[in-house]
Amino acid sequence: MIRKRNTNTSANGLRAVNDRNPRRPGRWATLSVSALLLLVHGTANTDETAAEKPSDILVVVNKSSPISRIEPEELKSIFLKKKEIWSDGTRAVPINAPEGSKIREAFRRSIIGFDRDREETYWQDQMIKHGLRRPPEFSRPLKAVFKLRGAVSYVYRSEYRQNVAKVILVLR
Amino acid sequence: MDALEQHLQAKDAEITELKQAMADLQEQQHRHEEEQLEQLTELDDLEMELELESSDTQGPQPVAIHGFFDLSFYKFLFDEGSPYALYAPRDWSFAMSNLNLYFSGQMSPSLSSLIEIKFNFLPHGVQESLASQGRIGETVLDAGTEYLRQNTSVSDPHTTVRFNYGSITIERAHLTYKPFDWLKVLAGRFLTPYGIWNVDHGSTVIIPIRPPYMQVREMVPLAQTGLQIFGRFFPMHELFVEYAVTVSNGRGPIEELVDLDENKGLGLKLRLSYEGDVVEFALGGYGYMGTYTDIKKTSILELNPDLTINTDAEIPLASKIDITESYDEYIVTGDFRLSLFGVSLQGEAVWQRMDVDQHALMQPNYIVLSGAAATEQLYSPSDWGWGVYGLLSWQLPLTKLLYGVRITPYVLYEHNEYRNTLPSLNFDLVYAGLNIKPSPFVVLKVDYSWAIPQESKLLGGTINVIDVQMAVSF
Repeated sequence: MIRKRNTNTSANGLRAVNDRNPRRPGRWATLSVSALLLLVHGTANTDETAAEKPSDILVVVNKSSPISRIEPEELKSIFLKKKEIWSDGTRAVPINAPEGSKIREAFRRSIIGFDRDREETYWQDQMIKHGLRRPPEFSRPLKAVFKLRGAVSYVYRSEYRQNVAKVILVLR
Repeated sequence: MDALEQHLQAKDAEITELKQAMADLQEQQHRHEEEQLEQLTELDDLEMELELESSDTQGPQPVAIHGFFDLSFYKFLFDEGSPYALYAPRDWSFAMSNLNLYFSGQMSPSLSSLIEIKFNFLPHGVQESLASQGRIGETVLDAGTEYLRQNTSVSDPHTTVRFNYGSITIERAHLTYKPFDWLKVLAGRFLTPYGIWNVDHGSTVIIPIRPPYMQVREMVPLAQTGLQIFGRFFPMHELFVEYAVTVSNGRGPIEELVDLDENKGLGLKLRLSYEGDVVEFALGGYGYMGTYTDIKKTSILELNPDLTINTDAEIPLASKIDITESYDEYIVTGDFRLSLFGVSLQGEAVWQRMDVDQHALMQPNYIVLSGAAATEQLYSPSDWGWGVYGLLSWQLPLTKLLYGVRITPYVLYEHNEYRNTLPSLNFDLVYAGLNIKPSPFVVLKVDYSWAIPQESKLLGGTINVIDVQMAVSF
């Protein structure tokens, strides 16, 4: 039996993938389809892959994180450091793709809602008001997410690897 | 029947095959994932470690240094012979008002520190005293005071080069422990978490050049030394509820180091803010109560008639502490900000009450302004004051046309009644200007301001200022 995951479509059209119980019946069937696609495309994807474009951006967290889904607004709060702690008490570590990369620009536009200058101004202001540092940048965010408990970042679907990170939101 | 059984057997075989195929696929996938995992964990581990070490992640991080400074070019405009000339420069002047350096450290995921130091050219050039005269018709009464200005010019004993030493102000220095979003504890010197201006405070962040009188007159202590417990709740997406509880030495002449009474300054902040894509709104308030105390210390030596120390006295070398000034103060503030399509309206209000226990001598200037004779000795009374300002700004929708340059015209109005018993200190203030941001790091401002005293006859009318400022953050 293949069960479709719960999805939640937000006001701005982004869809959050909800996988609250990864060990429920049907998980292996889901994985088997994924594995088939993996063999064909060389990537591991979720059960919704067939309908998704390769340019999808996946928001990922460390595998150990209890977070299974996130709303775009909450993600924005974390990347703007308005929210600094996950619900389990772990410090949230937002990790950006390098400035100037297409994925960074796409994420900024769809989640943060700022242009590059406005984001820079925001961090300059936060630095002066509260001494806050901006999120770090990594050329390979997936690795950082794998290494750091509490880390959250975003990658293209083609770069995503299962068992390395957990998808909590899909941006189309 | 046989056909049906055969069909079922065929289906069973098919299911078995499919199960086998699925098992094979799962195994292949696991192998593939294991290989990927291996690659990710082994390859470039060194590069990863280096990246992690130099970022805001989990371990102790190097101290980050940043800050801001500004340069202004300004001129005060007032009538010839106005008393403003005693305090404000008459000619076009350049001024460096702010050079603030920040040192921020991240010792662990939940432990951080922040130090903000302001460097001053002051006290060089500050007027210590004015030569003052009284006139009764043609008769001039000389008060006998000299015009004195601070001179911090010194010579290097080695090179004999002369320079002016300045001073530094520790704006804030604190350690913050953040176990949860809703509970953070800060210890040290902190900016009072009230209103908007005092939190923004940097010249690249605030829109106009000059602060409102409620800031200049410190109707609320701008910074405090002690503890702050604060946090943020998220009742809904994009809706934040913030609180802060402050316990400090309160206001005092040396409050950074010593509390001269046992009454701690207590404060409570509450703030609700909504930050949507189109509209942003915030409403906040801060209440404060504390006691200001100043003292005079006297050493008392018990002496014999021959002026030797009387060792038979109960305490031969004793001390006496007299309270020279003491008042309880109660402050309530409110603030709001509304931003919509580039238009922003923000306002703050402060109400302050002082109940004096030990009256201090009133400053001579205030004695004269109160209408009493200059030679009289008056004591500061219990008093209250209030102030309110509104700042309207509009970021013009020309940013794309102007290659990213953001232009924000603004206008500010303030009404300030500093002391109920000294109405001559009440002012209305109007600022109008342009805030131009060619890059996120640089702000240029042009500003014209009118300060209108409510008793303009006494102070010689309105005082206006033309100001141009460049502020830079780094």
